Amino acid sequence: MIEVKNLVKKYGDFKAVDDISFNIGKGEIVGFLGPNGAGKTTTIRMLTGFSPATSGQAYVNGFEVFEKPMEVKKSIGYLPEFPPVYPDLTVRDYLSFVAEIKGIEKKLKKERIDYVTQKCGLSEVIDKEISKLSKGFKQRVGIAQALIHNPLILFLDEPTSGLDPIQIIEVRNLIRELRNEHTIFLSSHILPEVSALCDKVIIIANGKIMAVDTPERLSTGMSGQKTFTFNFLDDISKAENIISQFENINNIKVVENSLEVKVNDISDIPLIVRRAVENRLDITGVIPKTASLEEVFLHLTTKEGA
Amino acid sequence: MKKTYAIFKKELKHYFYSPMAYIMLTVFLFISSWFFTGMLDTYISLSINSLNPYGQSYTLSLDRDFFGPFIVNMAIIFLFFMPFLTMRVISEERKMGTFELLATSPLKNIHIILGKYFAVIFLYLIMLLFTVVYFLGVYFVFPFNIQVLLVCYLGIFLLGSTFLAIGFFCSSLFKQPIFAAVTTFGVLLLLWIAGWGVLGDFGKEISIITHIESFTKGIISLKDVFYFGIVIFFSLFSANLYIDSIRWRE
Ligand SMILES: Nc1ncnc2c1ncn2[C@@H]1O[C@H](COP(=O)(O)OP(=O)(O)OP(=O)(O)O)[C@@H](O)[C@H]1O
Ligand SMILES: [Mg+2]
Repeated sequence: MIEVKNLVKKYGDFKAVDDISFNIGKGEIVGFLGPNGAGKTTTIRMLTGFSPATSGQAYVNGFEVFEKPMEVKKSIGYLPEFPPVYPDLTVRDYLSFVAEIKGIEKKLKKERIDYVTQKCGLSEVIDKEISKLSKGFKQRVGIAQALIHNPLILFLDEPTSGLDPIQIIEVRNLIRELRNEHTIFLSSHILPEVSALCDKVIIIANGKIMAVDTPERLSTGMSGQKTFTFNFLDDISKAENIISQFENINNIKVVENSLEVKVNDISDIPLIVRRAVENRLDITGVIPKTASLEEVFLHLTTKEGA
Repeated sequence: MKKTYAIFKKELKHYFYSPMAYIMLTVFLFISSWFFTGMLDTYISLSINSLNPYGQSYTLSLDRDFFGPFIVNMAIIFLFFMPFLTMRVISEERKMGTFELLATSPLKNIHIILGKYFAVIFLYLIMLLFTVVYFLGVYFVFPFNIQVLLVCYLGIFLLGSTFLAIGFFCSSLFKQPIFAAVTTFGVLLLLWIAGWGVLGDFGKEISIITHIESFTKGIISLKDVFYFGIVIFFSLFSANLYIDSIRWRE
């Protein structure tokens, strides 16, 4: 569905996107993960035909983006970083306008508007002016706009940024519902979000791709290093004393009344638990620590440097 | 065609859902009727003078002494109005991020540009139509030959459309509508006064206002029609190029 080969985007001498390549299959939901300024928006803008690449190729739905932009634009829906809405129009007028410029036939227009209205939960605000809607509703109007012509591929640039926690959950649920019908490429700088939604994660930093993997493998399986958090009823320094005598421990530190233990192999964990019990420590919890995005990054970038 | 019409409709909604269109029309009606009655007054006193056997020997003509000057006056009003009419046309799309929606939809620049240009022309026609009412009033009291007046209207229509095209181009240059308005006003003013100064005959050729003179005399000169046509085409074409270049830089 999406095939990217050696794509580069330069602003002057600065490489915002530096020679990236990846493939996305039909029906996949892929997270494009990276910190601020990584080049996510720049990449999406090239794939949607908004801005031309400096070099490289990108195929979307089988069409080269720069050679057949019209074909590509017909097969994609795009939610930019800020929902591209006209504040002075009503939701209905706006959706009707988008339907027309996407080339939907007149007789199908009403049906499509009804469908996206229902799908995105916009019925109660359909005749309201967009300027009067909350950020969450505006975002849903933005998604509705991207869906209106039933595109094969959806590009969503940070679909949950700036929303409150309830709105975030609503938007995520909506995206989950859409996954069966569209190939989805969404960008984010929040790892849990991507793990919650995506089959595959592409990590980008400084315009370069750092990793392509499943979310589980990325957050837990960082080159065999395992970190677990231990909680005890007992005094934490006593626990630290006992556990730290264990040979196979890579690293140990006290974090807010619990112990963070890094081992070389996951099979060491039951041994640590046994040792703790033998020493009459009361364990209340052993929690595998998933890496935060920052840690994944740190890890990936340092590995890159070595 | 359908897509051009979609853009056209959307543009008109912006003007008419916001107070913009109403404010513009009201202010325009007020100023233009002010000019109209003032000039009608002058014309009437002139015609009383001309009846006076001791006054200057001068044959008054409605065409020359009333329609023509009124049209030039309208041109001055439009010089101030058009920058406001076109300032947001492209710049606001860029400011609000909706330009990205247009640019990633299966639209060509020509759909966007023509749809938007026709929308401002449409508003402009409404303004002109209101002024027709003034002349209808005169016509009922004192029927005249409408031929010259029609040519005058063609002239002012072409002139205004040219103003709008120039404003359109300026609007593509900036993200802030107000910058577009100021630039448009500057460019129009320069084009207006180009005929006055050191540039001599060349200045007269490029000056926007000299090209409406023949119309005010009831003559349709192809050269002038051509001038307006060229400026309109060139402005819209440059806007088209500039819009593409925005996408290269973003
Ligand atoms: N029009 C532009 N001109 C010059 N530099 C730009 C332009 N747009 C983006 N950049 C630079 O390119 C880099 C990548 O920006 P981009 O917007 O793609 O990042 P991002 O991953 O989307 O970040 P964010 O999470 O903040 O949205 C940044 O360093 C940015 O400053
Ligand atoms: Mg971004």
